[in-house]
Amino acid sequence: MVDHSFFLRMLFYSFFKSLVGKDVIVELKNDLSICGTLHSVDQFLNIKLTDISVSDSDKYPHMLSVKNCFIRGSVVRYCHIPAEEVDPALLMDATRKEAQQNKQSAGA
Amino acid sequence: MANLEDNVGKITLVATGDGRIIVGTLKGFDQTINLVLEDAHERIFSHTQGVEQVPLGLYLIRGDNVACDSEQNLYNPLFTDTLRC
Repeated sequence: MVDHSFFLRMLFYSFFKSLVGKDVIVELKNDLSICGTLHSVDQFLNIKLTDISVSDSDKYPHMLSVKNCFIRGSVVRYCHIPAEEVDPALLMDATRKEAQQNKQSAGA
Repeated sequence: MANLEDNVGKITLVATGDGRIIVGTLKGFDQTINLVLEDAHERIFSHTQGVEQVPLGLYLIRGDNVACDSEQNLYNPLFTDTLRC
């Protein structure tokens, strides 16, 4: 049995690694939106942000005393990333290639 | 790699999946982000009164419930009796 999510996750891991140093907004499943500079990412898509601010700080002042944070990959709902940093064609190509490989290794 | 090694031994603020805020000294963690916090306090925010701190002692938080983990690098005077939210 091939674990497709594993391959896809490795692909997006590489993708996120290419975004290190860029400003992103991470929306969590608990509706908290955190804006910060992407510091690092790991294989589970856990994310570390530096110099953070919470988008709706009137509603969520809990994090005002915090500058850097670690976000568990499983609680992320969305990542807003700068459009100019992404090449959709390249990403589509990579995903297709990945799917092709998965199909082949599943058939073998 | 995004790991928490740098935060060990430091005062850390953890936001849990259900929106609670727990502050304590990070003593350890593992690959599923289970956390051990020493001298943990829960910060309870409310509309009507200031921030309430509830002492919890030594706490182990299961990784599933951890949303966000961050080093508290300054004493922030905002957390006083006057903050409402």
